[in-house]
This record gives sequence, C-alpha cells and structure tokens, in this order.
Amino acid sequence: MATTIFLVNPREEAVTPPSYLLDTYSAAAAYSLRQLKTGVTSVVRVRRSSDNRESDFTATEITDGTLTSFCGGGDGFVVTWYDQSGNGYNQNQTSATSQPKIVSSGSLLTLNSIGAIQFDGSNDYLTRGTALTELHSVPFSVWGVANNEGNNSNGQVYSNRLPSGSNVGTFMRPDRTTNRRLFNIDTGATNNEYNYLSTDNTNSQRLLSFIIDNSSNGEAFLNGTSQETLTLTGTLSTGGNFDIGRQSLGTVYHNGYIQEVIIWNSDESSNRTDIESNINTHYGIY
Amino acid sequence: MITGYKYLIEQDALDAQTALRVFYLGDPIPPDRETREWVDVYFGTYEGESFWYIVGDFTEVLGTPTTFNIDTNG
Repeated sequence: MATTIFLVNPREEAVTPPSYLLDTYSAAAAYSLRQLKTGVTSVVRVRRSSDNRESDFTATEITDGTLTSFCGGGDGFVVTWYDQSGNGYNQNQTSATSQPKIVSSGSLLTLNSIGAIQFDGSNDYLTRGTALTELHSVPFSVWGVANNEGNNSNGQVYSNRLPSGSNVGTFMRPDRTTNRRLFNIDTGATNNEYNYLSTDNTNSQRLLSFIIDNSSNGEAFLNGTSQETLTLTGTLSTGGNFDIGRQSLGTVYHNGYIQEVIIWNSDESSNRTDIESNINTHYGIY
Repeated sequence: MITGYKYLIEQDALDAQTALRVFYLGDPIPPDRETREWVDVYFGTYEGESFWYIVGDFTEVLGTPTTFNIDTNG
C-alpha cells in the first residue's frame, strides 16, 4: 500500500519586534531600568564596590543576573543613567560617595519587586551638569515612578533649578507631609504648587504625572488620578541644573527609590492614559 | 546636621578631596573609569560664615569627622 507523505515547508512566523513606550510616544528625555525604545542598548553604567571597576548594562542584563554577577557579593552604584530618548541627556555622578545604589550585598535593589535605584537622602544624586531646556517653556509633560523613605517633604524625583540661594525652578516630589507637594514651579515671584489631594505619609510606590499645556494650565496626577489643577502664574526660569535625586544645586536630597523619569516637551494630555497604562502595567503600582 | 569635614579655605577642601581619591580610587585613575573623585566638595554657609565641606566619615584618611550645620533651602 502506497504511503503518501506530505512535506510541509516550515514557514517562519512573522516576527513582530516588541514595541516600547517611546516607539509610540517619542520623548525629550527618558530614564529607566527597563527598555523604553527599540534600539536602546545600555540603560545604566554601574561601579562595583569590590574594585571600583565600571560596566554598562542592558535592561535584560539587570534582570537576568549579569549585573549582580558583576557585583559579586558586593554593592553596585550608578555612575550613569542613560537617556533612552536618543537626545543624549545622560545623568551622571562621577563622585563615588554620591552615586546612588542599585545592588546591595549582591542583590538587585527593588521597589514592588521591580529593579530600582536607591538614593540615600544624604548626598546621592545624578546630574546632567546643565539644565534641561525642554523644561524652560510650556508645554511639557513629565512622569516619575518613585517612593519616599523619609518622613518628610524632601523627596526630589527630579528638579530643574537655578543655583543655591534660589528655589526657582521645577520640582517633582513624593511628599509625605501636610505640605502635600507633588509638583511645583517656582518662578521667583510665585511658587505654583500642584499638591496631592491628601497627605500620604507612607513609603508607597507612586506614579507621579504633571502636564502643562500651551496656555500654562497645569495638572498633577497621582496614580492616574487628578490631584490639583492650576494656571501657572509667572514665567518659567531658564538656566540651572537638571538633577535626579536632589534639589539641583541645593542641599535637599531624595531618600528613597526612583525607577523611572520620562519628560516630553509637549502636551501629552491626549496620550496620558495610554502612557500611564504602559507604566503601570510594568510596575504594578495601582 | 552634617557629619563630615569643614574647611574655611577652599584649597584645604580640595586637598582633602584629592587625598580621598588617591586612597580609594588610586592614582592615576584607569582611563576606562568615569568615576573621577571619591567625594564631592560642597560650598556652604551658616550663621554668616562661608565654608567648604565634605560629607561622610573618612577617619582612615582625614581623621575623626565633626558635625556642623549648614543653611538649607528647600
């Protein structure tokens, strides 16, 4: 009895590359330990405590054990948090004792089980060494994922601030006090405060958002929920420094974890829910 | 309150910074490293006095640290 064998040529399935947040919504500056854009390689540069050697790491190498293997049983500190936007606005720290920590005694530091960078509240910060001019005019939109381990209002996810002696600038804060500051824009004459609806004196992980449109109408959000709306009084400052983890050029430092900071020099109101959904899907904040 | 080292002359603070760099990072620093110093030197004021300071306890290199206040803004 004849047997008929059908040979079927295996067809390769069409491979769809993963789509990242910035592939859809191109940003002005973006810092994260996850990959945010196709083509991004290194997301962070780390110094290990054992011999001060440094190496770059991809998002995958942070989670697959490559980073912790590099650090051995010691600590790892962030030298550079690479800007994934493509604009090259990397955040650096060239002084060892001011470098925030990412690996502690051989273990990746996490917040809500996802990799996080720990700022000590004493002298840790990352800086671009100059201002982010995208924050010098409206519109702009910013997102941050962070918590505050200090029972205070000192938390500074980022700031873009003029030199010490002046509080003029823009600030994103996971405040825990009755000050309730989420975002503020100090123009010198007026401190425009966009506050939390209520005080949250816990070290909870928070998704902080702030959008200001072409008409200077600003709105702050916590975990996707509107907190305060205010029309900006005054004019945004120029100059200063863009820092993550401290009040730039100042003496107020963030005590807690920061996982992501993304900045658009555009009004992203129409994309806000999509962006927040993407972030929350990864971090599981709320 | 800061724990660290306070200097009334800037060059003294920079010399202390150099001593820490050489002790902890070596001299010269390998070219593949981006970490260039062990500590930052900050400028501060308190009750009308101006000074430079280093934060931390580096007893092995700089001796016993002191505690002092600085004006803050925030």
